[in-house]
Amino acid sequence: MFEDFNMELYRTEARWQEGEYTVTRTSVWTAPGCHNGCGVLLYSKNGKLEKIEGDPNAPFNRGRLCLRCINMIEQVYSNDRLKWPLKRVGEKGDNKWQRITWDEAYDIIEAKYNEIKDNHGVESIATLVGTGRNSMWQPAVITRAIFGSPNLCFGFLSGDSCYQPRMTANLIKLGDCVISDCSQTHPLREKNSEWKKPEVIVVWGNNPLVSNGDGFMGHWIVDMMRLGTKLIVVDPALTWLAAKADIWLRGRPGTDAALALGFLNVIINEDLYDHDFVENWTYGFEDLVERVKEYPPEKVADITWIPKDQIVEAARMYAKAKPAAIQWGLAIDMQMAAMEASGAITDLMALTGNIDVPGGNIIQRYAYNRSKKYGSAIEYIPEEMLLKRIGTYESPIHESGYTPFIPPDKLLECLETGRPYPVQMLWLQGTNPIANMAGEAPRVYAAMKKVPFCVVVDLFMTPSAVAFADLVLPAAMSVERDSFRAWWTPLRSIARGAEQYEQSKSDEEIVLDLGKRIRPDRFDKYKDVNEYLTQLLKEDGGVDYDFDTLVERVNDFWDWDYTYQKHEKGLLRSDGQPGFVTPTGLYEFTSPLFDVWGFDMLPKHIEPVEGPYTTPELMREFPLILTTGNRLWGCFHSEHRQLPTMREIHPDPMMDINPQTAKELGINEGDWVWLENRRGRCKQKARFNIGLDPKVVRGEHGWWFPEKEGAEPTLYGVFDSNINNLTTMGVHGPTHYGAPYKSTVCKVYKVTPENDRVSPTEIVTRMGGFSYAKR
Amino acid sequence: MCSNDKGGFVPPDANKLVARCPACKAFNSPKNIKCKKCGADMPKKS
Ligand code: SF4
Ligand SMILES: [Zn+2]
Repeated sequence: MFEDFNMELYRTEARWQEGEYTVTRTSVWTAPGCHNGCGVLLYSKNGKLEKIEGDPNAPFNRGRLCLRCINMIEQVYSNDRLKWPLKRVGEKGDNKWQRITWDEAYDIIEAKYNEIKDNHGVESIATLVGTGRNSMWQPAVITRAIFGSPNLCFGFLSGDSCYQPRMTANLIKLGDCVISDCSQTHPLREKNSEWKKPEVIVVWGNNPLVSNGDGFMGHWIVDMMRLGTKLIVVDPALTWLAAKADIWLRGRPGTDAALALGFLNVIINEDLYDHDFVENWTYGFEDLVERVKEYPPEKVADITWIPKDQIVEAARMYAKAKPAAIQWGLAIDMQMAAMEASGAITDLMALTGNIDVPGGNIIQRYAYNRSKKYGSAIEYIPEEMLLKRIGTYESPIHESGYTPFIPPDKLLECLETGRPYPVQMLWLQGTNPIANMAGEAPRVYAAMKKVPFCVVVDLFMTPSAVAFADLVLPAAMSVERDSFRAWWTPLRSIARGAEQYEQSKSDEEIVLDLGKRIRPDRFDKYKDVNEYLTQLLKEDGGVDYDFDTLVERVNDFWDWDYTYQKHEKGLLRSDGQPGFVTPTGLYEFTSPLFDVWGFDMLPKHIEPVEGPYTTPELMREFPLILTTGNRLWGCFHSEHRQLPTMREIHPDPMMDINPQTAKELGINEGDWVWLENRRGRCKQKARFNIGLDPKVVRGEHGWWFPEKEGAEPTLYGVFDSNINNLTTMGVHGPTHYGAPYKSTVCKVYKVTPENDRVSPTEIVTRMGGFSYAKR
Repeated sequence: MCSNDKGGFVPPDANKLVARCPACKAFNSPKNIKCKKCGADMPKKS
């Protein structure tokens, strides 16, 4: 049904000439800005990209592209792109720069590195990375293999609350990560004879059609729906998928752990679980049985605001469907109970026997184990240097190596207090913290200002670069670089289809340039990026071919990833025995590791830190629950705001409010309103959303205004509509994971000339921040 | 096989994170000298 096109029309080689165009068949990662790696056909003329089409022969996306890739020409050739290295000449925040050469930039970095090494120790260099832009392993290599510092951080994401809780819950419970199986792991897709369609998919805590998060293409769900898959959608908002679902569970933000425990209660009490899997492959089931007794559906209904009957009905529908998959997303990570919710939802997959079965939740590793991403180059850090990692030894999960990051909340404390040692240099690659992921952004702004030296590698000038950077280096985009992608499968080439814009360099080139200067002992052996990529592809039992061969193949599916029931076949453990990579060798409902670390061994509900049941006093002043971070069609996080087409679709930051609530507050649709709480306020435009609970409002993140003045105090208006004026840093779940980005409180009122005399950005950049948040 | 020693996204070696009591089989921190549950001596890590 899906491959009903004339195959002869579409070519399968990697490069060809089509009239005046050179066509490159490859994949992109970011930029354009997203987590996927869709197959593309890049049409270029004289080295310039002229058009881009989806590759019908890429099993991943089968010719489809979303707005961000379709509109990529506008992004690649935007005159706002960084063109050459820039050195700050005014004060930080003045947005005054001098054009310099790459050699001059590297000279400055090398001199600074030597000075820090001699006077402070290389550990006082810390790196911040973002999500997407495929700058994951590259900054990790720069930090660890070149600078020798152990301090790599998700910057600044409170509670590591993006995929780390979900992945770590998977790793602790079953030793590997699982994703919902829409046939994407096999080159033949639905025609793979072993594959089965999921009878039910639970779309939990994300809107995948818009976000395409975590390497999961949202449109696969639509493909499954066309085959007859039924949906249960867990979302506080009425999304397109929720509207098409058999059951839409509109929960109170931040209560997903309770909901999952309610599901577990129904499934166990009604004996709907998979006895075979539970008896043969799991550990601690009896403890789970005891725990779920504390979560009868009535109580879960009170906690989550979802009617009891719907909870029971949804639990039955999921458990009875064979197979069934859970497709989960970021909202699960962005709450106090992130780890607990992630664990409970993973338990649902196990309890119903849906782990690593066709059409269930399939175990994945990076194709051919190639992509080490943020964990790269950790082998270069000696033990005594690892011990200097900031904040790591206050969190057992970080200490034990389940995440390659240092805890962001602890890095912030370190910048503020200078303890355990002052940070002398920040390296930012692919992150724009104050515009995007930093909770309590004004606080992060003040802390980052204290760091003496800062380098930013990015595509465009950003508010973070203006505020903090001494050097800004222009990065190349996907279509201008050679690289590869292995998250999850297939292994995909990222082959250059256009010449690099002005003097931009790819992240890989920057790694090699710096490596050859600072650590020639480690990097002189690579002649060029091509050789370096070949080494990364082949080392430690990887593939037996070089980078050029991958470019020729375009895609390479790893058979391990599409093998089912790997735990039965002895494919998971290094000893080759059946079972999972856990201390017991079984799937662990109760976690011995959690016991050893002093955590609750079983999942539980944790109330949001601010809300009707935790802070009823506060609710008198801030009566609405605020959820943030819903994704936009055209803009990926804080990216794309420079592009006319994207701004035509998303001209202004929008907040969603139930019309009934708006009416009570005297707000009309399209009014500018303030969202405010104890930490600060920001303004967005009101949009009526009938699907939202009247007690819940939703605000967009990532907004800054490239069209405004870049110099402080305006700073591209980065705090004017910044929803992170209201979120937190240093507030996280007991495991150090999960921050309440999606479940805090606020009040909403109209913007008037009287209450809008000084802009929030000016308050932050010139007046020391919002008065109630001043410290 | 993918190993976490070089930053692969697989769990760290469980043997370094937990130790089982030889007497009662309870899971202990490898740092424990005596079992936290039954008090038996924990084997020394080499
Ligand atoms: S999901 Fe969209 S932005 Fe991402 S690679 Fe695919 S088409 Fe491009
Ligand atoms: Zn014991």
